[in-house]
Amino acid sequence: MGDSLQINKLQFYLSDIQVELSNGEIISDPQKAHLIDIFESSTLQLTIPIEPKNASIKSLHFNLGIDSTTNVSGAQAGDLDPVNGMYWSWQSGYINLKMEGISPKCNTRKHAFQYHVGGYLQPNRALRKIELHIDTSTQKEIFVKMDLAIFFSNINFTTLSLVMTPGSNAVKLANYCTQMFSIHEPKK
Amino acid sequence: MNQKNKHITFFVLLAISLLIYAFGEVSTSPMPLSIPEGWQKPAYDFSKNPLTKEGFELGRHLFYDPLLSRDQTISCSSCHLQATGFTHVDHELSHGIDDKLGTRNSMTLINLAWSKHFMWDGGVNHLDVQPLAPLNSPVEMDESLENVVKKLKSSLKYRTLFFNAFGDSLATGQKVLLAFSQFLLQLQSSNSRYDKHIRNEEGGDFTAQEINGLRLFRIHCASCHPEPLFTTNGFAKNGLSIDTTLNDFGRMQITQNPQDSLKFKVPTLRNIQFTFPYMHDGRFKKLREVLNHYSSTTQLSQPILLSAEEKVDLIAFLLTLSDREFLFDKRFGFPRE
Repeated sequence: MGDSLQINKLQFYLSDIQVELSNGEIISDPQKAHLIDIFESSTLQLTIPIEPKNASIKSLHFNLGIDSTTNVSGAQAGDLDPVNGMYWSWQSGYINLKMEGISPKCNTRKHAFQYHVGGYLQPNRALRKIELHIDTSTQKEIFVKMDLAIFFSNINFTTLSLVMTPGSNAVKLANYCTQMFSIHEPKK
Repeated sequence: MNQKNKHITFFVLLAISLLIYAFGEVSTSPMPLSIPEGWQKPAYDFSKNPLTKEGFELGRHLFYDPLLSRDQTISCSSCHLQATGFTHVDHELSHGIDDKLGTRNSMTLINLAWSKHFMWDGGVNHLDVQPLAPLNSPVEMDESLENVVKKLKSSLKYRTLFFNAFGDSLATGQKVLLAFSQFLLQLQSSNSRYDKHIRNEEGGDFTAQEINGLRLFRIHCASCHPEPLFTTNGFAKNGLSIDTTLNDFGRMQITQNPQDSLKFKVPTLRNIQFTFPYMHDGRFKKLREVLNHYSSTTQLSQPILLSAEEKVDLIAFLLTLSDREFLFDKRFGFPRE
């Protein structure tokens, strides 16, 4: 509370996005995964083709991270290309979310915190399914809000500044991540 | 006048043929792996990366190119030399960039199509992503895939090689990794004297000593090193005491499961004559020392009891696993342009 905080990097994967319509129909995003970079505005808007165009949307489902099958399927292209730096080389697997920054509370070099959240094997699976309900929307756009304050309200920088391997700490961070997504209803 | 017209015609034709070249479909020549009779199905899914001659050639150039390392000094072949079964001999621990020492002896690169896990601790889960480990390691190549792709994109030679292999001259991370697999998958060793002996081929004659060695091998060694790959491709604790200068607990570092403490990947024994020193930390220089370890350790569930004569016979058999056709196959060597 009241701590200063600077975020220098925030990247994460959204995968297997599905839109559920009011009539029960489920529409899947043709693209397996999207690499979102908070500092790259071009990655912040995703388009999913829905027919009919005025269909009412009941809920939005997606994974935060990459599923285990993709994690063991070798070299992938596009957003999943390891060239994007969201991949661990010494212990294969995708980094589901990278958050890096500075807080005076961190007892680390340059007061930096580094959270690289990943891991696809039990008991340290860090993939999280997110389901967001929508109060019947026929709008063309859905705004998903990501409230970092909720994430950081769980964090104690003095004890948890560096997480860069799969394990119980990564699982903890993954759990905190699920709470920060919500549907943002635009003001009428 | 005539002469001038001719010139014009020539240039127009040239322009048209260049256009065809630029937009035409690239044709690649398939180069499937020939699986020896009686061998199991490879673990690698070739449908996602069909092997071609052009892909293999690209992978081969990458394998031998120090461009991969941060300061252009280290190539894959620095630690994986063909003549020694694609491993690093004569050093307990392999060394990389700036003469920095690693913590393990580099593994051989033999019959990798059958392997599901890579590295001594199995930390790498697919052959495609194996090259990332040495590439990123600060004591090996200390480089990023992103930067390698950048370097490759600015190289005319690689633009041509990528175009030939993938129909697109621009490298991507995925294509670099797929090309590496194309080369590594072809590193198949199946023509040792042992193989010829099993296939009843010319050159496959065994001495009485080697026949006895094979018999002993099947009794004492085959549970971890089964024919024809001479490895389960799994992990095992083989009774080695911990080297306290390294404190390497092997597989447990990846799984965090205490049951995996001191388990390491079972290496193939093919070409073992040339792949010394032995074990993950290269602690044994001679095969004799390896057998002495197995016959003296109290850490195995079933002790391996061997007389001095039996050890000699067993070693005689192990030497039949040398495959000179593989070790000196020019296709796998440094690409001379």
